[in-house]
Amino acid sequence: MVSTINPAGNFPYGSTAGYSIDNVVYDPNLKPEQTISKEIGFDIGFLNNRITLETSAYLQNTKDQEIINGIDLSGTTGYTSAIINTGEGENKGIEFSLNAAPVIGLSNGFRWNVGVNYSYNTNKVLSLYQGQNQLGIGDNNYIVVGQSFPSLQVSTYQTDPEGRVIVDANTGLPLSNPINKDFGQTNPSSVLGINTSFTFKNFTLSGVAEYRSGNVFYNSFASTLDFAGISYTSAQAGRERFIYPNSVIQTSPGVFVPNTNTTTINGNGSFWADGIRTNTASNYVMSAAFWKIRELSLAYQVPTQWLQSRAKFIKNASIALIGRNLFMFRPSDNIYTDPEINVGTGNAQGVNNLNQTPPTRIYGFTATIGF
Amino acid sequence: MKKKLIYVFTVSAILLFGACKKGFLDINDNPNNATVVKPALVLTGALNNTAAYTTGGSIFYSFAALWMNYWMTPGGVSGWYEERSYNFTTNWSGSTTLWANLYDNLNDYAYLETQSKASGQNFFIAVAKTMKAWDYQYLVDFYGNVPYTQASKSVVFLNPKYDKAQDIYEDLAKQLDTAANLFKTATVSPADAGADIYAKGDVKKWGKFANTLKLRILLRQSEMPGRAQYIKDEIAKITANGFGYIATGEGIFNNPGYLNTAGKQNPFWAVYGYGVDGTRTASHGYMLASSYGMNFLQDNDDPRLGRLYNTVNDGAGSTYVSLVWGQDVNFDQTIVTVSSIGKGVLKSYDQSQPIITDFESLFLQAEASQRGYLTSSAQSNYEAAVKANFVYLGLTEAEATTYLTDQDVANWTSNSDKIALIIKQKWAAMNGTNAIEPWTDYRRLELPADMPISIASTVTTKKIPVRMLYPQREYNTNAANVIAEGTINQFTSRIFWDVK
Repeated sequence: MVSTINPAGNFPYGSTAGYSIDNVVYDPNLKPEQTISKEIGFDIGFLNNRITLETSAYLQNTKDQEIINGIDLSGTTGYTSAIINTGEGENKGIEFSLNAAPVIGLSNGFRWNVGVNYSYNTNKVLSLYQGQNQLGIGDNNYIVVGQSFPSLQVSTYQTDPEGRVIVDANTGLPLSNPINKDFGQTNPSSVLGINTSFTFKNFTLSGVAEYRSGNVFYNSFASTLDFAGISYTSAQAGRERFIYPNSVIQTSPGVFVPNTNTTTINGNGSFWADGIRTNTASNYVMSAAFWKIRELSLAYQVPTQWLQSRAKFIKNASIALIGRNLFMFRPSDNIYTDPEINVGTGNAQGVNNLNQTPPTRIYGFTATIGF
Repeated sequence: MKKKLIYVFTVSAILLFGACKKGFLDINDNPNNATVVKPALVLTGALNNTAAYTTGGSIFYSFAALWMNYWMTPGGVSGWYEERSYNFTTNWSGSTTLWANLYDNLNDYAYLETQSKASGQNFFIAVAKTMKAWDYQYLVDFYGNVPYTQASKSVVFLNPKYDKAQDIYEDLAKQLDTAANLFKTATVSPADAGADIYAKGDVKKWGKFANTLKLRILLRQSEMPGRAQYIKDEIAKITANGFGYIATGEGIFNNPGYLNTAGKQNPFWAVYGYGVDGTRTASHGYMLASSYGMNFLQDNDDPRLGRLYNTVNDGAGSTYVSLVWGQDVNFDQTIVTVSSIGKGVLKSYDQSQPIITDFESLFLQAEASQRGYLTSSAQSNYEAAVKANFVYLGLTEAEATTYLTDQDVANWTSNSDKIALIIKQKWAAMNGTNAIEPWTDYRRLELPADMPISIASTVTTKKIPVRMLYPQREYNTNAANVIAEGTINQFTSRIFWDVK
């Protein structure tokens, strides 16, 4: 393993040079990633292809997988990340795509097309570098042997065997627990897409909707909202002392009594902005499922006869109103935002913070003229 | 003809590539990123980083200077919840930064030691051992059991195990013996001496540094029952090497040639002092005088008052005002109306950064003499320490002598509890040069006994924490080993030497 050595922080001072070993260690014999992919497909069409169904199933095995940003190391190794061949993984799934034109050929020209596609993907980590059970890849994402990739692991409050939060008997404050809990995968397992269009005379109304589920995400930016006191949650108790919901008090080792009257010692900024609330990431982990109407458009095609009589040099012309990202439906626990916002472009997924711009809603108007 | 041409191409291609030196086509070696450098270059970088990460770094003051009642936070700014309440988590900067910085620094010293062994540069080996002991002592003092034998070994140990704190301490003592003995025989080339920005290759200075550090390590264990013989035996080894300890005027300082350029100022000055254009930094306005710290100087006619603190409005006013540690503060309680950090510790952008001062060494010797570990006079060590502190702050020895004679809080003969006197005066002297050592003395001895606890309403345990928590990153990347250390609580999980 090799690491580079560069000038230490703030050097040079005048003519004084000083070097320090960098924090990344590289495998000089990095091998190329190898994927063996098997796929089987089946396509069928009915009624002169008015209905078509495309299906496929695949199985991919990848050896010597590489993580672009490296794996996280304990600082005690002398380094904070390593660029290595990480391990072996398996990826499998099925895909369906059904397209149909249920209504065509009506005398008034009304036409309806619809397409549904669905994919289910599941993957599994088979083995990791040096026989490790898990490796961190940054942003609370982990690769865990035997699990799907990547998994989200974050710290939680201390809980009793029934999963209720343990609070301090005197202060009513939840007790933090640095040991990470696995919340599941950050890539969606199911993706369902629907597109449809209605055409009547020269008007076409079309839409695209999508549903994704099976994954979680960590709304890191919500902890910043709590810190600043501008979140919905931070005002839920009216900034007064409150009994932490569904909490218990440990009266003797292993004995937990529901907390009915010990209120938190603070209910204002001292509770919501302190490190115990904002650093307990499990407060901000939620389902990343959503339904989105990704696009709606209404288009008008100018009749060719009309064009030919007025402006022969124009072959075709259309105008359309387009709206993108118009509606989003989320599970009730996600009171914050679009789960598709993500911190980076690396392998880590499902984590956001204040540094990303929220998704934009676009209203558009287009005019197309062909010569 | 065609065939012939192909042959020609093939032959010339072989000749071409054959003529080039090996690796011509190897695009994986970046000539701009060295993978090996001379040990001397790493030494300079590592020594400067130690200064920036420990005594010159804000993390050595951001919480400890508050807990030790030197400084206090102002009104009009929110923050410091953890510092003011003592309630912190594994994600808090105190838990994470110290760990990350010290292990980062240790990797450089590990490299220095390995490379110097290969090249037979004994001076560098000894420096590496001394500085590793410096970093590891702090790691143990902050966290207790930490990775030691398997640390700094890259991917050879992806999950370094945690070694027992006391075992590490004992090994550090041995390493420092080895270092001191190497300093006795090492020859230093002029080039290597230039790379040593602490002592310019002065092996006698380094020997004293190693000995003083070992004395500090041994004194930490003063309260452990049945430990006196071990301490005495180890001190006998220090005495045997003949270097002695850091005396008046022999403190160790870092100065790579600090410049009045962004990022190149003295690190303590850069955080708590003034920017390149002379305007005060944000943190200078955030760290104001704490009442306990200021009252001790005001009540005892201590000339250090005007050196450790400014008058209100950053020295433009005429009165000294302080805030009680943890009190509620309003928008008017800022640097305009409260005293700030003084010019005795904020001297200039290019001030040499104290690593271990002569007065710290003399206080250590005073305590060791008082406990019977050293044969030198406890009183003269103690008085020399106070004098050295006065001189460091820009005062005179004569002023120190008057103070030592006239003031009951400083006079040797009028105090019956000499250890309490030494530690209280050590606490007063360390203001602005190292806030961690007084916190550590407090953990070890519960002295100064009247050290105030934060009065903030957010305090839920009325006790100064006895340690840092392991950083969250360890739970993320070295989970099995850190979890094996059990549940860690900052008020109850003490370091092995903290038995009082």
